[in-house]
Amino acid sequence: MNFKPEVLVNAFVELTKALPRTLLIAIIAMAIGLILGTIIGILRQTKLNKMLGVWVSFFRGTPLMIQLFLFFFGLPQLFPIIGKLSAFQSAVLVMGINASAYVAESIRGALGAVDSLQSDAAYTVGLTKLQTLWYIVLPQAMKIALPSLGNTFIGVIQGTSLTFMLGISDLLGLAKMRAAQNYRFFEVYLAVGIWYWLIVMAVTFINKQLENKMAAGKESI
Amino acid sequence: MLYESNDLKSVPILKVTGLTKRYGQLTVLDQVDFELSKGEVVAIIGPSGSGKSTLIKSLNLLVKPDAGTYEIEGTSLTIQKITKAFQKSLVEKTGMVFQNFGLFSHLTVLKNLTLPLVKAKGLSEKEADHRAKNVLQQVGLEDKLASFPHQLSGGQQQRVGIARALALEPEVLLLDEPTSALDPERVGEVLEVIKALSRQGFTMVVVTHEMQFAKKVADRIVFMDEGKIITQGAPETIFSNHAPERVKQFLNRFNLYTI
Ligand SMILES: Nc1ncnc2c1ncn2[C@@H]1O[C@H](COP(=O)(O)OP(=O)(O)OP(=O)(O)O)[C@@H](O)[C@H]1O
Ligand SMILES: [Mg+2]
Repeated sequence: MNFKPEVLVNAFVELTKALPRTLLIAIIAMAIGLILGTIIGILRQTKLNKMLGVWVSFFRGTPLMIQLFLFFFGLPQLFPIIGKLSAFQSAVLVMGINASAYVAESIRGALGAVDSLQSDAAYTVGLTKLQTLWYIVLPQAMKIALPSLGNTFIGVIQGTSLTFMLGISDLLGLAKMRAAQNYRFFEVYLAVGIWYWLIVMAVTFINKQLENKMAAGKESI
Repeated sequence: MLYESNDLKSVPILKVTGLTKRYGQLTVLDQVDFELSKGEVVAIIGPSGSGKSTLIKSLNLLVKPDAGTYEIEGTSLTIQKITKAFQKSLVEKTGMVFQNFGLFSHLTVLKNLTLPLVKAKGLSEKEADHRAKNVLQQVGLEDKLASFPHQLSGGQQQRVGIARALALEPEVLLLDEPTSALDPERVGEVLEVIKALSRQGFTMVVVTHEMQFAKKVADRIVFMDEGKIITQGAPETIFSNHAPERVKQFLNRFNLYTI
């Protein structure tokens, strides 16, 4: 068997059908991860720190695939209601929770890196603690955390490739199906690899633009 | 004590008694009494680590002392009994200027002023804008509205810091070494702003190492050492041969008598 470029091209084109699903999983999961993770990161400055530390440690310390299996195949045995969720919903939820652990760590670090003098100043001008967090500290922490949040998003994108295990026909799911039909494993898997690579490059580019935009006119802290 | 109360300026704005603050074993403020009258300019001087910053930051409860009593507007509360409302009125009464400015670095100069006006004071954006521009004009920065803090010189940043405090119309301005982080050639412009405020009768507490300035502008000098107010009084008394030995030792380092 030798390499057939036209098979690669065909596979590459056909995979566009699965592209929206992969992107959708990644984007929704990242949105969940951002919101949940930011809240966790903030709450780690409170009494809940220890408890949330365990949460973060569990989701960072176990393979995503195990988390997916645990949730999709395991938990419904204990809580049948969870079995009502579709594979897609489960995937998005678990990946979001997984991402939240990484986001929480980035946010926690970034919050600590914001000059505490600004919180002091905020107090003296009469801002409440919540206002200080929202208007002063968080915007600057987000900027500090941006590069590592970008990395988390890249991790989420690559993590979506595990969701085919739940029967979702995302990029990799579709690629597997096609390869099983035509036995052109090399071309098909190369095509799908290129897709992930392109997506990650696009995200990296967008993140850089965002970083530059936030840096323009604003102090590096 | 050398301090004699000046009858013209004897309406007390803020009074604290028995302020004590410890960090672990270290007693940073030791039973400090401090009173401030309307229109008074008080300079706090003393060696490094003597508790000057801790005292001035205690006045608005940015630092919470372990013991002490606060009195404003005839209400007197011990630190343990202080309510949210009381603390709020302390914060509203006082504006603070920091050695390292403490500007919000992600916000423009204008926004640094308007954000507190809108969020803390409840002014409309339009009112806040108007007031902020007025105050920035007072400190000579009306052309820097859209700049970010890092685009300004230290002197300009500190003037923004002062403007931000003034915009909230406090009764007292607390300044903790407002010129210590500045290049020598920038010190003057900030001191000018403070002098102008003192001419307008603004009540101020300034922690400073600028002895010439303290001598000229302050109505009262407070000398601190090891968490205590060692002595206080009019500049003529403090900067004189009659001052306690410890004060003279300290002032000698500034070569004050040769200038
Ligand atoms: N947050 C803190 N934790 C522990 N120790 C502190 C803290 N803040 C101040 N101190 C200590 O309290 C003492 C008084 O500090 P403070 O900043 O009030 O002195 P200062 O008179 O303002 O000195 P300087 O002239 O150097 O500014 C110092 O020994 C300092 O190390
Ligand atoms: Mg100090």
